[in-house]
Amino acid sequence: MTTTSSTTTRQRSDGELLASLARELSPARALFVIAVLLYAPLTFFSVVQPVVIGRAIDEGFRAANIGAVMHWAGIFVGVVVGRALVEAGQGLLMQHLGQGAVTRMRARLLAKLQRLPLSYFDRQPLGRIMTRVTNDTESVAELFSSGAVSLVGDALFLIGTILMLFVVDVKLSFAALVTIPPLVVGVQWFRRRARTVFGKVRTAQSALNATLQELISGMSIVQLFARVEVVGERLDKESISYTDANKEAIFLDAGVYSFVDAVSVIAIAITLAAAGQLGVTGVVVDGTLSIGVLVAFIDALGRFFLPVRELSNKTTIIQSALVAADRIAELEAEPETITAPSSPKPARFERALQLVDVRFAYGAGPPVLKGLTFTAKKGERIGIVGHTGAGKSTLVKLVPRLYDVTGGAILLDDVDVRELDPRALRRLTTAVPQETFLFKGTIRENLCFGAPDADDGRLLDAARACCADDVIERHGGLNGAVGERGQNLSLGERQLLALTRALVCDPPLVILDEATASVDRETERRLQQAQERLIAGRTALIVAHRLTTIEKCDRILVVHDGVVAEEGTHAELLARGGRYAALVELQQAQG
Amino acid sequence: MSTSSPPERSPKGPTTTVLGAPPSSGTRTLGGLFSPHAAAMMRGFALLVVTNFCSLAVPRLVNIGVDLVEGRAVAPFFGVRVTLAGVVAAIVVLAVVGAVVRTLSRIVLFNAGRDVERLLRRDTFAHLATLSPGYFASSSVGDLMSRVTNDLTNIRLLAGFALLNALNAAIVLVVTVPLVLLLDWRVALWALLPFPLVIVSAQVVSRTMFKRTKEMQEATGALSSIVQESLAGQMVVRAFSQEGAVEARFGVVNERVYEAAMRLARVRLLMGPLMGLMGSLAIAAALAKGGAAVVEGRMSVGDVVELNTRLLQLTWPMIALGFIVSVWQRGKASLARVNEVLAVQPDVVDGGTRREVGPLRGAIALRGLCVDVGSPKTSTRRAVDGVDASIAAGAFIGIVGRNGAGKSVLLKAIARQASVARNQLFIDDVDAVDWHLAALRQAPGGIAVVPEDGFLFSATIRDNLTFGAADVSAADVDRVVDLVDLRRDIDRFPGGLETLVGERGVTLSGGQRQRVALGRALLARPAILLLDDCLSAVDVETERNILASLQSGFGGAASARPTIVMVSHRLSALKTADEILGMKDGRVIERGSHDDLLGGGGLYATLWGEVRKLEELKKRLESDATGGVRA
Repeated sequence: MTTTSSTTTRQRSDGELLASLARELSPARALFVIAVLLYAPLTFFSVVQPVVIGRAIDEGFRAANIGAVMHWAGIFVGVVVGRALVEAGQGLLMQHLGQGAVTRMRARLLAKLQRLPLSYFDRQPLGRIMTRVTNDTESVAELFSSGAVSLVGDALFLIGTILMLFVVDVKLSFAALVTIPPLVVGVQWFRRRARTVFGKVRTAQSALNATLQELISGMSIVQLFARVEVVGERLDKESISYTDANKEAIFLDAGVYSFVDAVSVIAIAITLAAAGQLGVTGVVVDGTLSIGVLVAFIDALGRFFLPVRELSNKTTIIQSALVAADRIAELEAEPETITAPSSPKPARFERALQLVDVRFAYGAGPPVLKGLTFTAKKGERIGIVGHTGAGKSTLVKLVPRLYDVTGGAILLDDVDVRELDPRALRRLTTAVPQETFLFKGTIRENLCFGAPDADDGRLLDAARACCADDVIERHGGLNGAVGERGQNLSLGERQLLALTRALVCDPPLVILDEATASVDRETERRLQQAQERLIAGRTALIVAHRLTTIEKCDRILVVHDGVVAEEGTHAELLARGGRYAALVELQQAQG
Repeated sequence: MSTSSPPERSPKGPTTTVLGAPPSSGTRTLGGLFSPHAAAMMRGFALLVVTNFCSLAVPRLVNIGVDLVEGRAVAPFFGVRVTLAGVVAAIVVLAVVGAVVRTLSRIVLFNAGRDVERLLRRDTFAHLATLSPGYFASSSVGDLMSRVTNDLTNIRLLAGFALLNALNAAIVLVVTVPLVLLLDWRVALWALLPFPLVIVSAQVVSRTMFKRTKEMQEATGALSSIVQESLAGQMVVRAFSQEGAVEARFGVVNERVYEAAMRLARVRLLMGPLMGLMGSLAIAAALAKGGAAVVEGRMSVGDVVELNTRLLQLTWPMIALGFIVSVWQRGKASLARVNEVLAVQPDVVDGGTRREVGPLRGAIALRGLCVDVGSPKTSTRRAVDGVDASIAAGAFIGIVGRNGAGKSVLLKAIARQASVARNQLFIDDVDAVDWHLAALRQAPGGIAVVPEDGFLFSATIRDNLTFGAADVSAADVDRVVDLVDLRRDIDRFPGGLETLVGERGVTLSGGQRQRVALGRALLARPAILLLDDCLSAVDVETERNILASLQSGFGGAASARPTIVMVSHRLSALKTADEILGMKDGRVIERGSHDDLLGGGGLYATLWGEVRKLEELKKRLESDATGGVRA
């Protein structure tokens, strides 16, 4: 259950949103036209039923003609069977169109999210983004599945019935339809109330769920501070407002249902009275008003009001679908900042990677990098050290352009990475972030994640090189299952697989954020070996934590406060006795 | 950390039996859920009878009306001549009365369903509140949430929807069927023929519908986990340019959701026309057979009209009958899931001998204390193994040791959040299992705990600070804000103390969260303060200041100096402790003052050496003393 509060104020008008929802159907426009056209026979089959009953009475019952009775009864069966068939077919067609549209919408949203800059995910809680792709699209689907879309059909039915009534008998129609103005006024009143009340129900529900979720998560604190009664009361209060809001909704639902029901019965009473008036003047005898027509009339009135009862229900669904559509439109309007240039330059890495006065901040946060400059020549192995928060890990994200620099530039063979196709850039550079993220699926799927066409031989070779072959064996080979986020693997195993995954890509430039989490000595040894294999023969930027890793680097950059504070080889920097020397001592002390 | 062991039981008589569980706990039966609302349900039933009388009388009146219009003779009603005007007036009155009573009947019965839901939610939460952290560690929040939301919805539908429709269908059946048969039983039998079929097929359809609804929920569940995973792993996805692969994987599940939705739609969309068709076929039968009866003079046209109307009135209750079976089954299944939670026995139970409520003195005695952690289903491990300690009121005790030595579990046991056996833990010389939890957790004068990860509620900073003590003055809050060094932070927030901290306190930094959590504990003015490495994200200087004021009795607050048991990896904080316990593998392997232990050359001395070096180096790095050279 999502508890993210939903905004009920909308940015876009009903018309705009309905138009955009209609556009969703455009790939199947022909089918949509057919579905709408099918409302015509549907309405016909519904409206004609009372007429058939009336004819059966006049030509059969009153004329004492059994043949005619059977004839009209047969036609009635034909009509109701026809109606059932058209109704089912039309419904399925609508559903197919609606679900198809929503399915496309979800795919489009996911693709959109994957094009949005990563900073979007820093800004928005994941839960809320998830709501857009899942719950909100579902609300839009409700529009089709709940039959709210059949409002069109309902409208046609009402108009058709009124027309039919007038064709059958004008005077009776005027009499019976006196009830329509009060009906419209009443239903309008309910509808307006319903909009507020259902809004209240939704607000109360999300507040209640949020509280429940929080109290269950923080139960230990609640108990420690002996606050069970207090929070229990608070929960109960929210529970009561939720219940009360629902009770208001129950009243409205029951009220509108009963109101419409009463109006339909009163309409019948008025019809009877009018018929009596006409009958007294002998119209019946003249054949102007037959008893069959009267019965048809009463029958039609009984059916006329059925869809009106569902009206408030349907408008609620439409309202929440529109709110959802609005939020979806908002997501789709988010600017995509990291895109391929219209004519990307060819991505090459033959000479050097340069960072020139690179500045960066996350969103509106404080600057993380404040003018970082260095060059990594092809084949060089560069270690980056510095204490926590110095901005080292940010570098890992900037070079493959997962984020754009906010100042300065990153150049690959003298070409700004923003002038390259991001995909081509990322084929040249493989980033290994500190936090290993594996996907649910098989080990094979995870290993060939960056190189989908790699064969098993290549995967296993890479695994052997990275000492991950026995991890694979232990988990059932390449087809072995990896749980969500790799939860069924130990931390060390996950890291070994992540390194293998990077090696399979065989990139010329590796950017490695060394993991700091503690693992046992044997795993540690294997991780170092795997890492060494991955780096060997490549250009490498290593955010290093292990002394052994740092020592093997050709050059070391000490990043402090967003700039390069010291630069040189291990021996040079050690001899200098500055920040680097202190860091090294710290490493040794931490063992 | 999951702490659980067999529920505490005492060998002795009634003084220590499980009294702690509130009266609300224990599993529920349907009868038990309904009985508090029996009166409302009876009222609802009576109202249903009235509203059905109104709506079922109308077709007969219309029948008479049609006969009158047709000019047929109508028998007098209790000696009164029946006129068309009278009939019309009666219909209008019945319509209005019926509408009012119908509204009332729905309100009464559906509201009762809502009340059943609310009370069960309250009781389930009250029961959850008796369970220790061990239970919550072994069950997922999502699962518990689904029980207190979706399952309660199903139970409510059983209590409201199912009940109303069952009663309604019963009344309609009992009244309408005889009336229809009385019109002309030969015609009626033909016309009623489709109805058993309606009930059976509605049941089949609804069962299929619920099954497919579940499939649909599973498919959407799979969809959300793939979206969640793909978005959480966006860094990796992009680093490897695998957006396309993710979209393809998503596409497969997305397609499955479409299929599931269509499968569900097929049943749902077939149901409407099918049920409608059966009702219409009944009318066709009435038309054909009734027509013959009219021709033969056995029925009037009005009778046939009445028959038609009654058949329409029968249709929905019959469909509902089919549905009720499924709603009933689902409700029962959900009740079973809620009962699973209600049946869990708390492993930390309230002592039976309730102590007079007054501030604790703060003396703690451990006599061979053992605590097991882990779920009994999988495996348990002895985390604390025979610890002895005598802690005088007002003492300051430090606990040190490497990760997994059992330090946190020890604190949990003292805080009564983990099960302990009799005769192993004493608070103010009373066996811990005899203490009423409320007495131990009273404020002021109880036990307060500050865990490492301070869980904050999505409320204002002030509300979080005063969470444990509702009646503190603004001056107390101010003093504690200064004490835990929050003043500067709060001044920077736009709303000051009224700033909202977001879910779990996300808008605060780690250090700010820890200091708010500490302030929250201090405002409860505890007699015993348990600190679990709770200032790890606060700098050394601040921590030292905070500790100094703690030991002088909350910076001048009214209560006396509390007993402090503090776990810390930052050993300098423990320098002034009266005694330090060094723990390894759940046992105390050394104890003494800072000076004793430092001289002893054991665990403490080793840790001290490591920590000193780290702290020194960090200081050197953080200060700009070494100077920076820009590249």
